[in-house]
Amino acid sequence: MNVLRRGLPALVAIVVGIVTLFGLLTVPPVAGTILGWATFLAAVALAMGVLNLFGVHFRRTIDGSSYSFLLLLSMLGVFGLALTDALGFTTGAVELVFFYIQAPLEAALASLLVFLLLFAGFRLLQRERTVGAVLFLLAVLFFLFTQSPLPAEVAAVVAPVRATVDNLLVAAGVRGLLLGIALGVITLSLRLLAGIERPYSS
Amino acid sequence: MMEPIRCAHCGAENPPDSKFCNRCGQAIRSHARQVCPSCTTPNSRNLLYCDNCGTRLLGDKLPKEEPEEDDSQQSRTQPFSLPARPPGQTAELDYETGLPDWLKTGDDAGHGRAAEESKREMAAEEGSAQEPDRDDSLEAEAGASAEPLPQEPPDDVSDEEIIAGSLPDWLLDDEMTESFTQSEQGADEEDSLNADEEEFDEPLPDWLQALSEGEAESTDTGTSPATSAAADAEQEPVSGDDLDDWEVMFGGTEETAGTLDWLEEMSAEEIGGASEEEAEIPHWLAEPADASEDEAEAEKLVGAETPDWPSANASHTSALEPGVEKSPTESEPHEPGEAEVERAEAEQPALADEAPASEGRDDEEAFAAWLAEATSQTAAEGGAAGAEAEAELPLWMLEDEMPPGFGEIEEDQIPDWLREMSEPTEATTAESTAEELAAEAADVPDSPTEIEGVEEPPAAEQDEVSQGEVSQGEVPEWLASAEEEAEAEAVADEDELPDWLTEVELEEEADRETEGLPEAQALPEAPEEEEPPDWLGELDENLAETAPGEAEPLATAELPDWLMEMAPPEMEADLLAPATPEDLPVGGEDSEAEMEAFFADMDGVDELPDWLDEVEAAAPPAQNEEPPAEEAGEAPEWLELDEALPDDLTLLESERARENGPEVVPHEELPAWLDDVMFELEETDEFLESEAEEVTTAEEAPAAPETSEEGRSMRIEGVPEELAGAELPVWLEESAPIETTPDEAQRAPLEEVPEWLRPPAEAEAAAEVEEAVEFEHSGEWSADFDELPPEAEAEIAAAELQEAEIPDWLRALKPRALLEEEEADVVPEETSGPLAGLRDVIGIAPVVAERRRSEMLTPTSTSETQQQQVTLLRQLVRSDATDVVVATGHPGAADRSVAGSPLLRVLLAVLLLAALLTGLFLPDLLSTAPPPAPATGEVPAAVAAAAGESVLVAFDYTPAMAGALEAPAREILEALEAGESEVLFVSQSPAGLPLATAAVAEFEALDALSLGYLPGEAVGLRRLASCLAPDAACASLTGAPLSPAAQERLAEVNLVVVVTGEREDLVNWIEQVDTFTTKPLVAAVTPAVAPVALPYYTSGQLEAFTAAPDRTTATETTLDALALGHWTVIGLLGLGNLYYLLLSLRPRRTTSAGRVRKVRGEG
Repeated sequence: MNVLRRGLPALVAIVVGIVTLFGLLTVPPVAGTILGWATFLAAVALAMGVLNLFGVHFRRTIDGSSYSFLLLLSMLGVFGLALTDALGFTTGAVELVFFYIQAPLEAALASLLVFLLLFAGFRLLQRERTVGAVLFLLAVLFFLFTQSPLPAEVAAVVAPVRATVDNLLVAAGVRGLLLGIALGVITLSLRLLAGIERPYSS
Repeated sequence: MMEPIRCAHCGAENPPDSKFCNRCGQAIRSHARQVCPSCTTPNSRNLLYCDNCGTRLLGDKLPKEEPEEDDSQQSRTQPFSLPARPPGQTAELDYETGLPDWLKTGDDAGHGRAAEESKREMAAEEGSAQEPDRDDSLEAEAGASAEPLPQEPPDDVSDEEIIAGSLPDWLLDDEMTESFTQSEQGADEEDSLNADEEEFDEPLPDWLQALSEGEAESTDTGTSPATSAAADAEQEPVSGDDLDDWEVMFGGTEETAGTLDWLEEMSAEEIGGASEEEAEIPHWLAEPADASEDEAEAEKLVGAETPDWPSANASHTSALEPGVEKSPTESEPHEPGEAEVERAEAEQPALADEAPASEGRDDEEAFAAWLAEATSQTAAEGGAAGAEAEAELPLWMLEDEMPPGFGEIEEDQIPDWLREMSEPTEATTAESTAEELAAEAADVPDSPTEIEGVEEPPAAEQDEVSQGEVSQGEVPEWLASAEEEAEAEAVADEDELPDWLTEVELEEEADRETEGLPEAQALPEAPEEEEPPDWLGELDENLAETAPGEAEPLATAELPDWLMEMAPPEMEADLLAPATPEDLPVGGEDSEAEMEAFFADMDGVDELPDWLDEVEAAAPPAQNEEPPAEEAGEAPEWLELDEALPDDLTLLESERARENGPEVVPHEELPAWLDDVMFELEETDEFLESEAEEVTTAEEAPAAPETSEEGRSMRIEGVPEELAGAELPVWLEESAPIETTPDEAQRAPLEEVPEWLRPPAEAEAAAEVEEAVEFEHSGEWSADFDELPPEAEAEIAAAELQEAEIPDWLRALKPRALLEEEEADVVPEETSGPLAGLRDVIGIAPVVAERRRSEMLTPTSTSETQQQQVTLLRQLVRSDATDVVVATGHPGAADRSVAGSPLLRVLLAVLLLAALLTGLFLPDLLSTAPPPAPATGEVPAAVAAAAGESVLVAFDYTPAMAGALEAPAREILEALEAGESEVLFVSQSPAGLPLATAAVAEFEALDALSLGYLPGEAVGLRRLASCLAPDAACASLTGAPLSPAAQERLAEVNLVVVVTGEREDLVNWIEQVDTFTTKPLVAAVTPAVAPVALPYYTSGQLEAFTAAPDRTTATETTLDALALGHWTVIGLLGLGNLYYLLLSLRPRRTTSAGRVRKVRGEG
């Protein structure tokens, strides 16, 4: 029983991973089929997530949480409008909700980020008086200054500095990060293929 | 059927294979059994041959040459063969089992003294009961004739009976086994010794009993036999309790020195050839002579009952005398010259000086007269019998012991009776050659009987005389018993008592009563170098000419059992064969001649043999003095081979060892004869040659070394206490193998180990020892044992426990082959599997043999820290914000920060909003320019190049990023519209698809088709990439069916445009789509993602990208607002951090530390 419970997922993961890897290199249709399964599974997972969110907030609604009630109400409303749009009872009801409710809200929340970052940066050295904090603060100030619209005379002086910093320091840093991420992905892939890493069985 | 093993602890009998006692549980010691060298079957110690295969069980204790029975045994037994036996026809010498019991009861002086009293009482009680047995045996040997000597067997007695009667009991297997069993069963000392005495006394003839008693008495009293009675009367009698065994045996005290001294003096007189016969006659002979003046019949009896074995033994003794330089095989007669006499005297100066000389002449004169009468009567009885008797004379009396100047004795010096006797003897011995006689004489063992034989006549006489006077405490037990037996016999069987003994006894008593002087005073002080009497010389000459075949039977068949037991095994083996009626002594007609020969023998010992000199030298000068270390353990170490000896005997030896003190004799002093006996007896001639050398070397080391207590704890069974511990005769010492004790060997280096213990070659021995040591220290075997299962280890441990009793030094010397056999015994045999039947197989490692328990994955364990963190998180989530408290290190600052936080936040927000609003509502406030775009290529140019072609545009941004990305997205769509490109748009974000639809809708001329929402992120993009292949025909995308137009445009896409504000989305597009297609990829990203796109652009994976607000799209208003907002933020960040930085550098005021503040509630 333990073998089936622990070994079977590992076996499936290893076999599928190896087949997909060699399929992408040799037989792309085979890999495409498997990736289609993965995409379908991702959609199913999204549906499962929606149902789970509904269940959680339903319980909270029963417990008396008003925010959960609003969440459930919004969810069911949008879903209902989608059904009406699908059934033809309404036209563009979902887009309307999106453009007049979701988009302004998301833009408003994103605009608040400026104020949050300003306030956090304003008190950066109040709690974290370290060299890193200072360097971080200086970097923020530099890039804000160089990316801001400047007078032409100033911009002419700042532009080369900004290009040098971007092409040397920033590009090098980002390349290092990307290479590290790639190496991490490779290592993790090998561990998954070898069954050493079993995130699906935890 | 093997015999049960007796537990040494409780005495219970156990099955033969028992390792532990069934009664007490004690481990049965390995030495309780002896392993058969052939079949490895354990046998009891008392067995001589394996109960399973019949192999001799003593092979492991014998030298390597032991298996070669034919050659080695033959050569080894030759020196101990009687003259009648040709070399090689002797029995096998068995050192352990072939020894008589009395030789195994090594009694120490201390314990012997303590046991003598009790034993003496017991012997006195048993003496009367045993006496008739001896009489019976005497009758059986002597027949029904009135002749006292048992020289002719009766007709009705068969050969077997004769052999059985003449052989000692220990030669008989059954009896021998019984004796060993008795001794092994741990009977106490008294019982065993008494039992041995019984065996000892049983076949003893009367005359020998009397002789032995007289001898013992003489040694006890410390005087010569002739003067013992007088010494008893005047001197303080020396009790046997105060004497050591060897002292009792050989007269080691000052008083007993007179005994040997008397012999020397007597010999000196004879050698010197004094003209006066009476003066030359020894005193001990003089007394009987005086006594026989009245009764001439007694002399005949004396001569008749005197056996020939003393002469034979004496001849051999003379042949093997250490002082004799020539080989015994040589035919030249041995002439004990002056050198020997001087040496003997030099060794015993004190003894010679103390010899009584004043009162001996009277006795000598009387004896001379008696002897003259006896000889005359003997001559009258017939020359034939005298000739036969002369033929039985020992050889040494013929040639070897011919004293110097013997031939020069004048006729007038020779008694008449001797002259008469010599004539026929010369006629009969003309045929023999001198070589044969000498060689055969050399085979006569130097048994202790020689000593008795030499002293027998005077001892017997003295014993008879002083029998009733010697107190019980002065006589050893065995002698006491013998005395009582003799008394009882004298009273009960008056007719059977030899007349000569009776008369001599009477004479002695009368003489003692009349004279009242000690015999020691009567001992003549004879000159040192005097020739023997003529009559003795003639006897020697006649006997030397006697054929050996005639003399041997007398020497063998007449030996009583107790003397046979004292003889070496080889000798007794020889006695088995010749004990035929033909070999038996002639009838009583020769008794007189034999008597004369006996006396001649007595006189013929004109000088002390070297072995007797050694005995004297070994004897301590005084009885109270402790014997030397070499003498304390007279019994050789090889007697320790008998591990089955009772423990009480071991205690005796240990007691004696304590009394004698530590004794350490280096091995260098080990006599060579001990080594040679074990290994160099293969060839007879070589042995005979080496015999003389060994005897010579024996002078240098007269006693066997006894170094350790164990070595001194020699065990001799069956020997009387007087003889126990006494120095062994030469033939016993020669036949004794040497075995060093463990302690001794451990102390001594390897080179000190006796040669017989060593392997054949010294280098080989060292090599074997080194190999053994290396093997033990290598640890290979121990590593193998460690891997064995516990059961195997237990078995091996048990086996090793049993074998641990073998000393390491001895084990190291053990041949490797035997060690391997032991190891084979230890390692169990495989009973199953393909290796079944094999031994010493490498065991299965426990790792492999043991069952491996499957390791179950333990559930995820959380540390204590993690649990605390989880608990805290739950509190943060569920509890009210006001309940969460945090500790701040600076209460004042916290208060100010918390207190000023809303104001500050508001202030900052207001400042930022003011800047933005100022830029929006106050145009041309700042003359700013758009920020310089990085070198990202020309996105519009790439889009323009794709005019008229299918272009895939991905709107991967959400409404949150719409403010930053809608402008570039619109510029791209405008260019596509301008280029009349066919547009396919898709989004990975559900919120991006409406934004895309809205943006596309703004451009009415733009031919655009939506591919919908693309789920799966990287996977979805990979599947989309598969549909971008030129020949790919995707009817559906991620499960959603595609319209034919969409399929057609998808297959004809020549440009991919990605508008995203997320790093991951850009990376997925580049890695999953651009990698598998050759289509150009351009991107419009936010300034935050621009650093991520730059590396891909520089590597060529990204055709172009744009991150800055396009100059074309940005207005002056937005630019001013954007510029003012940036500057405001930069100013606030700088000022605020500078303030806090300076604030932190300011000296703090002391406040109450540890105050808890509510943070979130105040925030």
